[in-house]
Amino acid sequence: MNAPMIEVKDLALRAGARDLVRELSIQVAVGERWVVVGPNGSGKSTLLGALAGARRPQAGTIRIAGRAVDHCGVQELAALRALVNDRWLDPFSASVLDTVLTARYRFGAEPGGHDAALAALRRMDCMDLAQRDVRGLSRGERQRVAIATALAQDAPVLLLDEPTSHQDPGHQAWVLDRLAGRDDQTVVAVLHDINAAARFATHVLLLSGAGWWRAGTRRDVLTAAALSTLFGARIDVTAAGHTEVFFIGQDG
Amino acid sequence: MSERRARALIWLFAAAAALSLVASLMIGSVRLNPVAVVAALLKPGDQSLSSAILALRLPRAVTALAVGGLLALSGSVLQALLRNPLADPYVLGISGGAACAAMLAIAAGAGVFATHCAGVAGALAALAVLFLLARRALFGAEHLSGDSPSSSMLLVGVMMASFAAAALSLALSLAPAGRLRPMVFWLLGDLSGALDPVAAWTSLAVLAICGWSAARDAAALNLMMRGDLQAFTQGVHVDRVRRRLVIVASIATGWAVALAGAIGFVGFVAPHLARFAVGNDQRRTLPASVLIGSVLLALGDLAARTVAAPAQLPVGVLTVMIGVPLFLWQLRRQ
Repeated sequence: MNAPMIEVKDLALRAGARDLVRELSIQVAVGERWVVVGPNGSGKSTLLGALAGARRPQAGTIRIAGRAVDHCGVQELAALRALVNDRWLDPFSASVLDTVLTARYRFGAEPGGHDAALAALRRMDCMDLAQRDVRGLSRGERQRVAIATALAQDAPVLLLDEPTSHQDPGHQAWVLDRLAGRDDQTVVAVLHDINAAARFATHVLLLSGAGWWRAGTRRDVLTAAALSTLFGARIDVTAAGHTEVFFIGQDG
Repeated sequence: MSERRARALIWLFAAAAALSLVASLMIGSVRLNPVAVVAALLKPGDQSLSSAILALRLPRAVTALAVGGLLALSGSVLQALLRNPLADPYVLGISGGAACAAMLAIAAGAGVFATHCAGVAGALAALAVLFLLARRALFGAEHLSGDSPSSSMLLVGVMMASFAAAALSLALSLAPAGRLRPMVFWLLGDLSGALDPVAAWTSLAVLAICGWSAARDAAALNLMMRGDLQAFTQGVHVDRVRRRLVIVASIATGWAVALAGAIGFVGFVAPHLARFAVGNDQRRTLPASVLIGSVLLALGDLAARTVAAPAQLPVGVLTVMIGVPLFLWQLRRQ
């Protein structure tokens, strides 16, 4: 087996006095799609921040492509990973194309930037938005532009913090299928929708927010029993054709 | 906004700045024709009347261009940095700090250069206080969480500006009656004292250095406008760039305030006009903003010394009177 794309070793994350996760060790291989699942405030976004190198963990190491992220320069990190969250800011008007082009910053003044940005927009089905003002987009459209921006960064690792929170059900499935379509792209995503996670993930990381975690392949980890414990609610699963559907069960 | 059109517009603004310089040299109590102005500019030091008049008008005209550019640069950088079109060296109290320090230096009998340095020091001090008070938002553990630190920074700035205004009012109310009128003039913003050619050319050099430094970070600023975390993941040294730009903005403000007093509206309106003309790519917005600021202040000062001649009006009042209608017109167009 090849060296892992992302290697997390003995990671500890804390928020104030609260231990979010202790001794987290996972290995993410090239092309795997990991989904982080856990209740609100369990440290999913914090973990993504640490993976991105924006937040220093309390203990442990994170390596991307063999490089320890806390020893990487900002430019080097930008070549390793891109991040999508839903906290984009558009204080001044700008075209969608110019917004996506910000991702090409790490390449300096390069001639191919436009094509890369347009290709990323095409992948997110946003070509017709290219000349629109980002401030006039719907939240769903703006979110797809944010994903296209991350894609235009051409980084082997994509970190996605609820990338489909503003998508309608049709677009949610479509966007996730698009993101799952490349074998050379390694993805770590936070998703709240368990069924979307089940559809998208190759691997799952459960975070309790109290130090406890569990990681493994989707089939091993994403079970009704584990999810019920994790969320403190009865979660059932039923077969629908070839897929499984999770739903909140009725107590008693 | 096509890049070619933006570039053409920037050249147009540069031409307008050159024209406003020539106009400032032509117009006054003695009117010169443009040929005489250009001839005297190209052959300095000859004994003609136009050369003598030029020696009087040139420092003031150059100072107006430089101060306008410096204020516009500062306003433009701060608006982008704080992601807030209301930001301005005045709103943030940087000008207030500069004005307090410069006024103290004048009261202590400091020379011209010492006063300028005091202005810059005052601006930097105001900024240091601002950063100290807004430190949690700017440098706390959460500063890369994606939230904008600008709102708390803006609030701190508004408080500091109020404090500086009160301190200046206090200085005014305690000043002897004989010194009151020049002090008020200086507070409103006035270029009638700008007769020193060395100070004028130095100001232009300060503008060039500040502008060059800001231009180097313009591409990074484009990314930081859209959020610190985003810019960081895209490869920007967010803290480093912000520190550099904040220092550039305070040097620009401090120098301008020490030289010409509290001319407020240029740093606010020039970036708006620039954004309207060439869009929000800072690589174009910054130079356009500087040139528009230069033109605004040069024309404002020209009007200030000719409209009610031989009386001189404070240019700070006129820039507001020119700037507000332009601003409202632009607002309506959008």
